[in-house]
Amino acid sequence: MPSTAAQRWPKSIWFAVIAAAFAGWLFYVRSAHTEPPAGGVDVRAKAARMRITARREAPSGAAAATAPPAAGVVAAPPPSASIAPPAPAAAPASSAAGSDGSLLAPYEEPVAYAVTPPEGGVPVHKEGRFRSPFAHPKWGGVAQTKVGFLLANVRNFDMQKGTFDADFFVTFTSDKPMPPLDIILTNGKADLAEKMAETPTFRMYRFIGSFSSPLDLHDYPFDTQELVIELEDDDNGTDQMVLVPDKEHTNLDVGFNVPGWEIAFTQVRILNHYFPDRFEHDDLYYSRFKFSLGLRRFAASAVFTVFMPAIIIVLISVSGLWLPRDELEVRSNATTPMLAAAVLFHYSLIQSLPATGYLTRADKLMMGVYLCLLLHMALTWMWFIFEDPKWVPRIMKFGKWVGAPLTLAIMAGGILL
Amino acid sequence: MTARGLLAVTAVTLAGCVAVGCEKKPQIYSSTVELARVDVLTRPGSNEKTIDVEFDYPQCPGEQVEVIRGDAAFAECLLAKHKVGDRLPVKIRHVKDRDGGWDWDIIEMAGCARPPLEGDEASFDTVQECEPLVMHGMSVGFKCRRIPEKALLAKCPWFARY
Repeated sequence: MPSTAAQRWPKSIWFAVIAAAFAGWLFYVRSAHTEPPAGGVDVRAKAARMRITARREAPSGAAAATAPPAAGVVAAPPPSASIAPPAPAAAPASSAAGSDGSLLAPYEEPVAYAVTPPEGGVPVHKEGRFRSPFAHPKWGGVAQTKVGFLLANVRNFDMQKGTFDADFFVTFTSDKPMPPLDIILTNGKADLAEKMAETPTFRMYRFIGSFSSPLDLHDYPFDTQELVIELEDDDNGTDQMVLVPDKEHTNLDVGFNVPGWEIAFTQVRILNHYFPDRFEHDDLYYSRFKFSLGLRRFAASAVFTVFMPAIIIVLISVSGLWLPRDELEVRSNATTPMLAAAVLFHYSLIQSLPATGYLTRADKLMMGVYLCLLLHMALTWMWFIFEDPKWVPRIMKFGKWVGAPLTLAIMAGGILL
Repeated sequence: MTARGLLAVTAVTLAGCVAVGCEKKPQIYSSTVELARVDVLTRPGSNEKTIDVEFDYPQCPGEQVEVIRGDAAFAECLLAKHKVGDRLPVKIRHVKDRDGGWDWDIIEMAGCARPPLEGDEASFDTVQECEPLVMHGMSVGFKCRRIPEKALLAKCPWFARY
């Protein structure tokens, strides 16, 4: 016997309430899993900043003017940090030895002895391979410098901005005396830049700083991210110093981990960096050190936080295909609220990511979910288009035997593609 | 059996697996390690001492460096018979850790028992497989994979973390 509207009404309300509650729960869970915004209290980095500020403020007036370079700590202006002994611009040579106890030999600034052409313009060096005024033909040989690197900590990795904070040690060990170094962080800024050792053939620094690194979200949520730290000596070209990776002394600190991520790889690459011409005869190459930390998102977390909710949304919706024509309202309520759930879920997913010019795997999954919901709605609406009673059982069968397998195929495509 | 029956049996089996814990059980493995460093740590004015032992796994492909800390009994037992450079048999326990992954503990080295401690932060390991990074025919650096490859796990299965 066909049921009356009064009998059907409570069922549909019940279905809608469950669906709405599920949508709300999904939104809540996703919001709770969203990473907190960067810039939370980081006691260590804050302490380091305070230390820098204190040292900056310590010398004042005449005392500050005559003060030696901060012993070990130099605060750098953004976007890069510098740790070189200050080189007087006018003086032909800067002597780092003696007064401040440094072990370095006197160093002649290459710009000071570059020759200015009769017609004026950029001074050049006539000798040596490079014409650039920053080349140093008198230096007397390239120092092959091994770079050791120990990454102590990575904090505040922000997927939205592609930024992170890092704390690391870097060592330079050369076969012959190195020139004074002016290390800059080319993709970040330093909160702390501490010189720990300085001898002619060995230098050691500690940095705490903020860095930015481009993200690759093609495989999100099964993505592997590469956090990059780049260092370059701002003053000395490859005619004075060439960096060489030191595998034996490149490590992660004891107990190093990044919450939510698995360490996938470490990589070191040395680049010969060539600037597009900034002035005439800007032909000097600079050696750049690039350390990459590969982080892979835990797969179990990705499945439970992204794939599981999407699949449950589709399962609830597909269950409506088994409801007959008489339960039309209930059947509609199995799909329409799921669309709201899917939109909210997708919205909360993309909130934690930057905009991309391509579809992530999560986007493809959600496209599959939307397609499935559209299919299920269409299979219900067909009863409004084909009102002849002879179509009722045919549409019902079509929904079950074509709609359900098609749903499976669409979702498989969304997951696997 | 009907399709519905098959579905029901599958569902019950899956639920049972999840409930009972259809997963790998902790295992004990045997291997050989080569001692690279031994440091005895003492506290001034006290007889208390611990030992740090650094070693690698010569039978496993790739690079593995592990440092374990042991108590005085372990130190005395080990130092009585062995020195840096010796190859020693070890027993390794591969267990589920609190992060949902797997970890391993050296529970015996050359017959000397070393009961692992929960929350031991002094012991650590680095397991990686490195290869040179070549660009335009020139070696420009290196890349070290930290997630164990199949070849390593086939020979040394206790390095499996997930």
